[in-house]
Amino acid sequence: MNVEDAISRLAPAPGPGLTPGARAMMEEIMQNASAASIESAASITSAESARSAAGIASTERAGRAGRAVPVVPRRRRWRLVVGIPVAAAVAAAAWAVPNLLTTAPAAALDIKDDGGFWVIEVNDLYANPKVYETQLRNAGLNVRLRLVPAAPSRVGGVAPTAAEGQQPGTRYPYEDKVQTLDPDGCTEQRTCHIGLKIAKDFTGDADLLLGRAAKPGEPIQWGGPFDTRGEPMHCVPYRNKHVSEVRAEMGRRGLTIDAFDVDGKIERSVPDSMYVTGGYMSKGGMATLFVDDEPEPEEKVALAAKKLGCA
Amino acid sequence: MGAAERRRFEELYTEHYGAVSAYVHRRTDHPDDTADVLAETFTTAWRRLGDVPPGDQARLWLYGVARRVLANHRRGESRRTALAQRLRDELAAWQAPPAQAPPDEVPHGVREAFARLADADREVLTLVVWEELGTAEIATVLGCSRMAARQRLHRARKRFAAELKAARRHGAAATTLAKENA
Repeated sequence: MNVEDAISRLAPAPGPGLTPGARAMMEEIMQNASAASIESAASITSAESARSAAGIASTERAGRAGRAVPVVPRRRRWRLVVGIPVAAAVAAAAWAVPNLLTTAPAAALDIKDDGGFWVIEVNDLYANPKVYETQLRNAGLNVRLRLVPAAPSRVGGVAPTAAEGQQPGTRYPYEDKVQTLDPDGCTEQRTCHIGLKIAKDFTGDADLLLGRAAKPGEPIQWGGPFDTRGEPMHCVPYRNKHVSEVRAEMGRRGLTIDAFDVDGKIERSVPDSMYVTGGYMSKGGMATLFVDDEPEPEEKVALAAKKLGCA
Repeated sequence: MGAAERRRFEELYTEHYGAVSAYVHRRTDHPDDTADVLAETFTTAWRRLGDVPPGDQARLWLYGVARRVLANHRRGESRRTALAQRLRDELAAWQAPPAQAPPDEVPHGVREAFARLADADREVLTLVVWEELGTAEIATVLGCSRMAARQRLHRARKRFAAELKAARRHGAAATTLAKENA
């Protein structure tokens, strides 16, 4: 018997579902919400809060309540979220604050006509999204654009999501209409313009995320494993090494350790003797390392290296 | 709260109550606990309606809230609510219809093996099998990165498989012993 089968046999009954009593409770809640204590539910441990980071965990309200649960922002769809494993929840609040220093809208984006496409280059990486939106709308595009601090391999990348009508788990339906400027991405060797191309015949509506380089120490909101192509630890044999060794290896590349992920729990420090099994860039120039008491099987490490094209 | 909010809450409630109540029901032993946790979860949703994401994400958001309410409840940190008397009565009277009842023949040792796991391991495993969530969805519910969720799940699977194996070995030894003694 496999694991799934065993657990499914242990499943208790799901209960009676939406009964008349459940409907009555709905009315009671709307009439008399104050009767129930909810404070305890809305609180969250600081560890969890630090980790409420699946995807762009943008809580556009910066208030306590807004951060209390793992949220994916409204209008952001599943496909995008799954592409963005790691992010900090807090930085997103900055978008909600109007940037009074933003220069004239015309300066934020450079929109050029290139035959079938609008080529949009971002001049001001830190402008208020409203400024981008206004400028895009003036060009006849019904899209919203946000720049997010990204891990090195995602800089210059575009993640579109349909504002409405995209089923969770499905691909963005207009991928050919919204393209990155540089399909190969921007690597350390090459700089590239941050921007995107939108087909002129695209009449849909989209939320677009554009990756920009993270400033030193700035929480990264779009990233992935730090050993994939274009990431700083690509083909660096760090797996199954002790924390102390990996720290030195990272130091040679100008990187520091941000935190440790011990079985899903974020720790600021761990014994140097623990084994590093993975990691991701969590802040500009800083990585969070997955660590374990025991090393992983060597075959697994070899397979991972092969998959990454490093064997 | 205006009419639009009421409508939104009614839709949310009608659509997701089934899933959320099953989640809570499976993780509570007493009808009063089930009702308390459900009341608190949906009261939170009503008060924070503006934070509830659309579509199926709402279900994951509700699981996340229910999960915290359950945790507080277990620590004895939540109060009994006066809400939902009728629901309490219904839950107390409810008997699983045969089709829903868990099969009697859980092989020897499986229940014990599962009980030996850490809470965190049981949590990810049951989200996969009972709620049928994928790793990305689990990450949303737990408020962790997808990678962390995947890793947690991977480890929990491994540990449970090891427990099952140990239970089987133990079971076989017990059978042999019984035969020898017979």
